[in-house]
Amino acid sequence: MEKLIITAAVTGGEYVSKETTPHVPSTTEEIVGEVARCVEAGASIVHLHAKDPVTGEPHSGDPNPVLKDYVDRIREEVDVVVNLTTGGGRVGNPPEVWDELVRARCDLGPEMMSLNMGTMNRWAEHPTGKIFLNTVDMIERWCGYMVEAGIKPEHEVYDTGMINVCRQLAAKGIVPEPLHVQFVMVGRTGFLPTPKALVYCLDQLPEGWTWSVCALGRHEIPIAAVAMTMGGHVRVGFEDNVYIRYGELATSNAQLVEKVANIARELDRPIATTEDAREMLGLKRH
Amino acid sequence: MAKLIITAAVTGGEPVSREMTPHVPCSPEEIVEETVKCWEAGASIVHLHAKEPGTGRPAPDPNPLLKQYIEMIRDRCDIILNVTTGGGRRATAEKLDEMIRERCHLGQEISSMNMGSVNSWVRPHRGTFMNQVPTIKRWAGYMREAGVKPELEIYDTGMINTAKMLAEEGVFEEPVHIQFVMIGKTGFSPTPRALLYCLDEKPEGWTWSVCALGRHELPMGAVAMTLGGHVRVGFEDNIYIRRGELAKSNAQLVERIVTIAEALNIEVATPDEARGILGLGKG
Repeated sequence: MEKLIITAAVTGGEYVSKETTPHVPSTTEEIVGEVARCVEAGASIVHLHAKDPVTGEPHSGDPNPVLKDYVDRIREEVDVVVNLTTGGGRVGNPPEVWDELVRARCDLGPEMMSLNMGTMNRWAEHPTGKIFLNTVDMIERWCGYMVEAGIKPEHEVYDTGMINVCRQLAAKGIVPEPLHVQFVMVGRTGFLPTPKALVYCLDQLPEGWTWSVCALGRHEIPIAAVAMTMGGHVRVGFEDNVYIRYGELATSNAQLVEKVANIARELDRPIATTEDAREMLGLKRH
Repeated sequence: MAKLIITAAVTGGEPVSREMTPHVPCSPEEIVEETVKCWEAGASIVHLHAKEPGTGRPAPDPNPLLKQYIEMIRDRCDIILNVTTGGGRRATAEKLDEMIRERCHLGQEISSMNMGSVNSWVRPHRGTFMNQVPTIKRWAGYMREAGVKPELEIYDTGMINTAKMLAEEGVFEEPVHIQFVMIGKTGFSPTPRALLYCLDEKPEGWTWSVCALGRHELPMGAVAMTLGGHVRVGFEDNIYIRRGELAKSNAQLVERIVTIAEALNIEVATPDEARGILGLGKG
């Protein structure tokens, strides 16, 4: 079977701070150290959000200088595919500013950037409110910025209709095929983190596209195991889950990477190196 | 098998105006005539949006028109009235809230409400169709106060989760009635496979109906009825009776569904039978 690409979402994203777990890396040094440990454990992609160095909350201002710092420091220390979020910087800013931030972020040297494939309700509290806004116009424009900059979009899908959106991006020629899709199985207002939902989604996915799964909390590891048996790739890390087992906080993202790497080894699924991942995803080295 | 409830969505909703089909009813008189024709053909529920007479565009101030439709329909037949919570969305959030609260008291037995936010390619939502959880909760409260049964409109699988969580919180009284609005594009695909997935997620005992857009309307209606579901047809979802040929009346689409049901030995519910199935009070 094809090699397994493991993405480590190490920073805790927008919901996880030092309050959630003291182990979430927050300073540049902590984040770079955590990335190196994850790569050693088998990760070939790192997914990054900008964090406040003290609280571990999302960085409150322009995330780009912070992300640039991470990218530059990571490039000095470890060979890994850098995947930057298109999130962050939304609070208190109008959508035109989000646009400008994303466009500028394309110049920071990421090989991939994640992008949400639609609008949906939020169940959890969030400073930007109860709607997770990602209009068709935003999606099309931001894909354009990435393609122009030679960055591969990671299309984040939260429910089945967003697969239809991906297919339309391909059909309209906005993103060259094959696309890479990340199923973000959040439950609640999105599709459920169940094998049945995943099987349904895979039936909708065009032949030849690559795909990965991340699921929240206690679903992270079981759904990753299901995905890897079906030829998919997996994402783990504090952004989605802070526990190594029931009631026990993981002390590092690398523990979660090790856990899925062990499962892969038992299933005789070889683990992709960073170079393997670049080749499989057709990335341009920056 | 339970009898089949046919909903006629006669007014064309928000996207369909005279520009798309000259046959869409727009004036109160036309809408009432069309409703009576659909009722005669076998529809037990009519789903209503407020239309600008003459153009068939969404009316900017929907409530007075909806009230007029309801009163005129009541004089003519016993069809169940199902009123949209759409329309009037250019108003401020507070004004819209007030409008929806008032709209729960026009004498309808059902009001439809959307179970989530989704991108849209269709006018007049300018890209995003917003239905936040706190709004859903508030509007469900208005319906409860008024004794109106909500019809929960579902556009993708996560909205089933939302409906279940809100039912658990007591926001909706069970059994809940849901409408799978199979729009494709940014929502789930109008396919039997998507429908089967959704039905597996739907709690036992909840009643359900399907509407699908364009050429998918009649096939998905047929699939739904074989699975024990109910069906919505009408110009809001589809304006063609067959490829390239505009339907002259919503009643033609209702007749088609009735014919399919009869061929499958599925009995069509009268309005009173539909009231029994959906647990509605008196109209």
